[in-house]
Order: sequence, then structure tokens, then C-alpha cells
Amino acid sequence: MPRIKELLIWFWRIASRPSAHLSLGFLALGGFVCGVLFWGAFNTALEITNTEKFCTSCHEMRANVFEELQGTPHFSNRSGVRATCPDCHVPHNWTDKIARKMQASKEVWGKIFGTIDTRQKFLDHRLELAKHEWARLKANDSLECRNCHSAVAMDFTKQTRRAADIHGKFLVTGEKTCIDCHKGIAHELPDMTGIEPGWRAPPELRDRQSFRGNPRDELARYLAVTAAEQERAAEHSLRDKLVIAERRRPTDLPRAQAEFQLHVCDQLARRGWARMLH
Amino acid sequence: MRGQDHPGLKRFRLPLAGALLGGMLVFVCGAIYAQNAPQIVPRVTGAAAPMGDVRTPPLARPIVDDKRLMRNYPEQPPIIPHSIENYQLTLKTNRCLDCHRRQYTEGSGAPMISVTHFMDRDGQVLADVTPRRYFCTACHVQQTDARPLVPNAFKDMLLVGSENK
Amino acid sequence: MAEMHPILWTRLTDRRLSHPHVKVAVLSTFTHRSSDLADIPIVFKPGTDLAILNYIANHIISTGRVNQDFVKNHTAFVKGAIDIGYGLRADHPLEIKANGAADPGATQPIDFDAYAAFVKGYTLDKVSELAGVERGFLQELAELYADPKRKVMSLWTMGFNQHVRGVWANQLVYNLHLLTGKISEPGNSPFSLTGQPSACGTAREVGTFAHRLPADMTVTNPEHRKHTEEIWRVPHGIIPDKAGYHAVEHDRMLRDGKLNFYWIQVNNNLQAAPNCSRETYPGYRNPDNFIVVSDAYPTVTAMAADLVLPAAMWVEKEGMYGNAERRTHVWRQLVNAPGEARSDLWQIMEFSKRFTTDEVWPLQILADNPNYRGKTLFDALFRNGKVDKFATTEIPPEYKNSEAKAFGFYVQKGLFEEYAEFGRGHGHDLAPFDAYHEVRGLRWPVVNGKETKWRYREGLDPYVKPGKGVDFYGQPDGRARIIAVPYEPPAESPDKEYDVWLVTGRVLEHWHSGSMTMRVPELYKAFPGARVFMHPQDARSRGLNQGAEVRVVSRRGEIRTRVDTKGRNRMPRGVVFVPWFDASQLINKATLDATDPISKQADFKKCAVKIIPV
Repeated sequence: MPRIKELLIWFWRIASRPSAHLSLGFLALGGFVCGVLFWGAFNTALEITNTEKFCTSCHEMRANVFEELQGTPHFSNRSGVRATCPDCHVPHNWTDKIARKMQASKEVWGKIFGTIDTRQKFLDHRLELAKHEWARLKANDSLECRNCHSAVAMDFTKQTRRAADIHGKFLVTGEKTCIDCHKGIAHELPDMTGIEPGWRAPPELRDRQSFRGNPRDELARYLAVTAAEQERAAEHSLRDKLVIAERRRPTDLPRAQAEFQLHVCDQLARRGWARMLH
Repeated sequence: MRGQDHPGLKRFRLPLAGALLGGMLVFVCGAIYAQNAPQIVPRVTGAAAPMGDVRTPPLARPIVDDKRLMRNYPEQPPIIPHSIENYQLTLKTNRCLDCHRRQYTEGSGAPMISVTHFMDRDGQVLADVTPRRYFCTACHVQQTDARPLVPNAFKDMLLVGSENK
Repeated sequence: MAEMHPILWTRLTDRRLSHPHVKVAVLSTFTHRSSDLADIPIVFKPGTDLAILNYIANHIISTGRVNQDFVKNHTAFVKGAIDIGYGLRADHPLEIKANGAADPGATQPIDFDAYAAFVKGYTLDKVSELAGVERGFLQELAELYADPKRKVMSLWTMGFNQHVRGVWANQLVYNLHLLTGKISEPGNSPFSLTGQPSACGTAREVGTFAHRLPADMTVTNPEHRKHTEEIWRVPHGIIPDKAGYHAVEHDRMLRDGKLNFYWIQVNNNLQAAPNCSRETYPGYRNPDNFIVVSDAYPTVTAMAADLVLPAAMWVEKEGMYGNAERRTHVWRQLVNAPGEARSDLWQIMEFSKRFTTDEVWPLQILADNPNYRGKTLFDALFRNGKVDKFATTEIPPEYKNSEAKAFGFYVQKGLFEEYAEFGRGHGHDLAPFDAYHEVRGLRWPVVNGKETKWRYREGLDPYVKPGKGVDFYGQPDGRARIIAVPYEPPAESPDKEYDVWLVTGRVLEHWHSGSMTMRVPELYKAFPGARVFMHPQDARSRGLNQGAEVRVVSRRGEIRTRVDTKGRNRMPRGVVFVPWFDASQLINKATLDATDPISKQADFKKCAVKIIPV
């Protein structure tokens, strides 16, 4: 301990003494240039390691994950905009990026010792590797997904109804994040036994018959959606059938009558529900 | 020359009329034949010149309008009305069941798979999908916007039944 | 298998998913729907399956896991002829160069040590390098066979048969089962699925090949001919003693004008034949030839014919078929064929009325058998007191039977009973005809009314005598053959110009040449046209987009098609796949008419092509 202290004091003495031989301007400028050079080199190196070419220069990446990526929409799609490895796997802002790169030292270790140097070994490790990525994306709220896919920029009218519905329910509310549902979108999945899709009811609600909120709201929503148009359409067609049966096909009459009565009862029930709600 | 009579033609008038009639007959017969002759539909009969070069139409697009279609007969496996691009259906995972399995349907809004898929070969009812029905795409297919090549005379059973009555 | 035998595949899936200890290994030249169930996915370079199989044999021997008892008592070792050529035309340089082409099926006996020494060369390193498969996967696969505690079924489809060394490939799989004794019992068996579940019984068993007679007999064997002539009640010497042309040879001989009349019954030969623009089509259109096609649809073949006859289909006639597991089935005629369409059987029988023995039989035979003079062939073959033995009244009134109506006797029953005579008492016993109408098929040999589920094992097969355990009675010495044959390269491999492998095959939605399935709207719309499946990088390196139009060009012919880099088939680099169901993309214009010199089956899975943008 005292030795270290001595050393520090010695260094401080030299560093704090004005230079005897070099001008202040030279030192300041030199320091700046050196700094720029170092920083430039560091970032360039960082950026080189941040390209698909670099990633796929390893056999492990090329033969497994990159191979699988090539069949997916993240590689080839309508507009030709595509994601490269770092787009999804390396954070874009600097501090996170450096943190991720530090973590990568473990991957270098793996490379040296050939942890996944065959497809067989890769498949054996796939679950573990995938879990790391899922955990990372879950922790950062699917940051890399959102670099391109902004929730607020989604036009729900351009999505299929079911997708829009689910996005509205889970994504916009912040209840879930992208990776909860969109696993295995760019690579094959590991054995998913026990890993449930994001839209699975939360465990605490599973013993109920339904986990979608209050049945009263559900009913109100159902009535609002279906009531007007469906009723009218159904009634028309049933009435047509009845008329046709009466005029031309007496054998079909009992059935048509029954159907129509059923419809009327159904309507009455709906009205009953509606009254109940108000 | 114009407007001149063609005396030379007189000689040929009768034979000419005959030839004309003959030609018409051939034409009419040809038309009848052509109507009954097999239609050239390259995708089922080959090109008119069978070994010739045939242009390939663009790959048809899958229909992904999410509309449930009526089945042509009760046992018909329902067609898939949504995109299944890049859906993984392997030993490791089954993307179809992620939505269509009973316990996931409420969250996903997808129809539950048929109850027949919960039976083993002996008709014993199981708690979950029977493994033999695991590979959905063996029976359920998407449809593309390709237009059928030839007319099809398939009739719904119900219609056939009503005709017989 | 997942696409071509989907029902059987559900059985495999069921077994794999409900029994976690079960392992599925899928070997193929590309990744497809069968690979989806694979614990051990193996994609090997085309043709190297032979080396992989020999490596597994080597692994079994070198790790000391040969089933010595079984091998000693029930097998014999032989060495096959090598360098047997590629079944191309005799003047092809490859045939001239091949030393063993004269007798490709020849074998000579060797002993176990010689066999062990032979496969010793197929080391893990060498085979891994040759086949392009990871060592670990190969080892894992070999262990499945070697492990005495594990039961193994090997199933294969047409990649094994449509192979210039198809007979070898089949024999090499049998080697593995014989070395380990994993054969002829539940759960342990090699099983050739072929391309359709009914190919085995409907073609081979009944003898509808140029060299065969019913019940595994051949025309080149005088004893077999004599026996057949007796059963068929035709004079001795009437069956020619030389085999006719095989399928690929038909097309060559038509083209050369040596075969002048050709009648194709409900087969789309022109679409299905390898190298069809060079070898098949010119023969069909050769003015010296007369081509007749009986079909229900205007197929490519029908359109190229001189005469088209309308054929009845499936439930428009009564008929039988045999399945891969030796199951014989019968079905009734349920409806009449439309218009003037008639069954193939009716067509042949009616045709036979147009000839007399005096016109077509050798004079010497007629001189020796004067009672056959002046008869029509119909009388000689069908009105022979056997085929016409059963009255039409045996057919239940609720079923139709157009042939019985036309000819006045129960043709199908007469023909079947005559055919069944061949096998009864020879390990090929069939039940009485009427029994098949009562049950859902029976697996021959049917002895004392009981079918046989597994052959060659005591207790399961009535033909194995008590105390024998296992008896391969198909061979006079009761021993199955383990054969030493090497890896030999395919007839054509990619080179600088034609730089990728072309593999052809089928897709789930379409049956064979698609003449029926392309007319079913749902199936057509599910897979409306052929395409070339290729690796995304192979496409990008040629500047091809997904869906781009390209030409697939070989030394023989070319087609135009569209690129698919992300469909159900995932290709390794350097291999492309084109299904052949699409009549507007006759990929067989590009395939090579090389065959296995022993089986004469064409190799549709290996030739060299280049892919160029249109």
C-alpha cells in the first residue's frame, strides 16, 4: 500500500510540473490529435466488429444463425429493407453498446474453446443461448426491435385484424413487450417445451374461466359490435327463407319457422342483456 | 381491268361454289372439333409445342385475408386464411399450436383445433392434441390467388341430395 | 416421407412425440419437411449415401457390436461387381469405360473378414469429408444401429431407388440390419416405402415388368416359363425367353425406330421420363411409330399420342392393389365411367378379340398344339375355362361391374384366382378372392385364413419351421446376403459450367404428374406451379430475387421457372430442387437418362445444371 502511494505521488509531481522542453500549445494540440486518433481507431474497430461481415466471419455464426436468418422476412422482404446481425443484437446507444461488447468477451472465450463449433453442439446449446437474448430484450423492453418498429407508428388499419387487436391489447398498454410474443422471428427456436407464448393468460388468472377483464364490459362490447348489422342481416335471410318455404317448399316450413323463432328469442335475450347493463 | 367481266371464272363457278361449301363444311367441322378438342392448358396438358419454352407466370401470392371459408364437405381440413411465412413447425416448437391450442385460444383469438385432434388412433380422448396430428401443414394448406386451371364440376353434397328428392 | 407418405408420417410423429427416448434421423440431400422431426438432421452430398452406409457397417464391426449369432446362422457374405456403369446408351463414353457393365448384378462369395476389411476403408474422417456431414451426426447415427439395446427401422423413399446405385443403396441398408440382427420383427426392420404405397404389390408382385412373371418369377428361367404356361393354359414355348425392353429403353428404342407400337395405359410417361426432349418425345413423334394413350385426362403424353382412348378411373371399375406392407386390397365399381370410357382391363380384353392365334403365334407351336388353331387371343387367354369360371351372378346386385357385363363372366375373380395359383404353397399365399371383399386387406402369405405381419421369423411367419428361429427362405440356403459394394460417384456431377446439382421430386399437394391434383381447386391453389428451390446465397450470387424468372439448363434441355429461396425446402448451397408435377415446366427435359444398371431405374436426383436469369 505505501509503495503504491509513493508511486502515485511521484507521478503527480511529474504531471503537475510545467513542461520544460515542449510548448504548451504543442502539448495541448498533440494531446488532442492523439486523443482523436485513439478515439477514431477505437470506434472504427468497434464499428468493424459491428457488421454482419464480421459476425459471419465466424463459422459458428455463418453456418447456424446466419443460415437460418436467410429464409426469414428480416433478410428478404417486400421493400428490401433488411436487418443485419448487429441491428438486433447490439444496442445502438454508446454505453449499452460498450457494455454488450464487454459481455462479448465471453463469446470470444467460447470461440477459442469451440463451445459451439459444430451444428450438433450449437443445437445442444441453443436453448441457453436463446434465453440470454430473450432476457436481454425483455430487460431493455425490446429496444432493438423498437429501433425500427415503433409501436406508436403502427397503422392498425394496415395490420390484420387479429394482429391489430393483440397489439392494441398487449403492446400499446405496455403489458407485454415485443419479444414476449415474437420469439424465433429471425432464427429457428430451441425446444420450446414449457415456454409459453406471450398471449397466454397470466398464471394468476388461469383458474378463471376467462381472463379478459370484467364480463359486464365484455358483454357490452359484444353487443355493440354485433347488434345492429348482424341482427339485420340474419333477420333478413331468415325471413326470406320463411317466405320461400311458405310459398314453395312446404317440407322446409317447420325448420324455417323454428329458425326464425330461435332468432327472435335470441334478439329478445339481447335486449334483456342490454336492459340489464343499463 | 376494273369492272371487267371475268369470263374465265364462269367455267369454275360450280366447282368454286363446291369448294366454298366444302371449305365452309371443313370450317364448321373444325369449329365443332375445336370445341370438343382438349383445351391447351400448359400446366396440365403441356404447351402447344410440348417441348417448347413456356413463360412462367409470377409465383402466386398466398391469400391472407383472415376470412374463414365454408368447407366443401364436412371432413375437409379447413384452409389456412392467414400468413404462415416463416412459421416454425418442428420437433422443437409448433407455431400453429401457439395460437390454436385450447389453452392459448383466448389470448390469441384463434379458433381451437378440432376435437377430433384430441383422439389417438383408437379413439381414446386425450387432454391435449394427439401427437399424430402435430404436423398441421400435412392437411391444412394456405391458398394462393392463382385461378383454377380448368372448370370443376364438384357439387356440394347437400345440393346433390336435394336434386335426388 | 413427410410429404409423400403423410399418413405413415403421422404414425412416426406419434411414436417420436409420445416416447421421448425415440430418435429420428433424417438423411437427405436437402432440408425438407421430414427434417422437421429430426433429432439427427443429416444433409449429405448427392450420392454419398453409399459411403455413409458403409461407414455405419464399419462402425458396427469396429466397435464389436456385430450380432455374431445372427450373422453366423442366417447370413452369407458376398462381393458385388464394381464399376458397373450408368445404364446410359451403350455408346456413351461412361459405358465404354465401365469394366463391370456386362454383368452388373454379379456376386461372388467372401467371408466376414474380407467384408470387414472392405468396409474398414470407410472411416469417420473420410466419410465425413466426402459426404460433407459433421462427424458428430454420423457417429450418433451409427450408434443408433450399433447399440444392441435399440430397435431400428430404416425407411426410405425414391431418393434411394432412383439412384444410379439404387440396388446397392437398398442392399447396404439391409447389411446394417443383418449385421445387427435387427430385422423381421416388430420395431426392427428395413422398409422400402417407394414412391407410392401401392407400387410394390401392383407392379412387382403381379409381374408387370418386361422381365418378370407373377410371384417373383422371371421370363429368363425356363422352369418359371413352363410353370406359368401351365397356369395360364397356353402352349409350351409361347412365352418368349428374353426380357423385353425396360422403361428407359422403351424411349430409346422408339426414338431409334426399333419399337414401333406403344400403348400407354393411364401413365404420364412423357412428363415422367428422364431426358424427355431428347429421348422420349422424338420417339413418340417418330412417323414410323404408332402411339396409343389410354387416359382420363389430356396429359402431355396423351397430347403427343396418335390415338387417345378414354379410360375409366378408380371407382369406375372393380380392381385390386397391393400395398408396400404386402397388403392386398379389392374395391368395387361404384359408378359407371362417363361416356365411352372403359377400364384398361376391358380395353386389353376387347383388343385381344381382334387377333387370332393363327395370325400371331409361331407356326411350330400351332402345329404342335392344333387345338389352339383358329382361336382368338381372347379365347386363348380369357375363355380358357379358368378366367371365365365365375358367373356374373356372384357380383352383388347393388354393385356395378362393366367388365362382367361386357364379357359375360366375373373377370376380376377369374383373373385373381388364376394369379393366386402362382403363390399358394410358395410363401406367397393369397386368400380366396371373396375374402378380400369382406376385410380391409390382408397381408400375404395368408395361410389358414391368417395373414402374416412379419416374415422370416418363427412364430410370426408360418413358413418358418419350428426351431429355426429365423429362415430367409427366399434363398435356397436360407441365408440373407450381406454384400460388399463400394461408393461410386454419380453419372454426372457439377463442374465449372453446369455448377449446381439438380434434384427432382414431388410436393405434398400434387400426386405425381399432377394430372388429377392440378384440377382440384384447393390443391392447385395451395401449390399452383413448380419452382426452383435454391439457397438464398446461391440466388444472390447470381443476382436473382425471390420469385425471379430463371432458366434451369442442363446439357440436355432447359425449362423456365421461378426462384424460391424460402419455401418449405431449404437447400444447401450448390443444390437446387424442382418438382416435376407441372406440365408447363417439364423439368425432365433437363434430367439425365442414367439408370441403375441393375434395377434399370432412372436417377432423377442427380445431374448437373446451371441457373441463369431469363
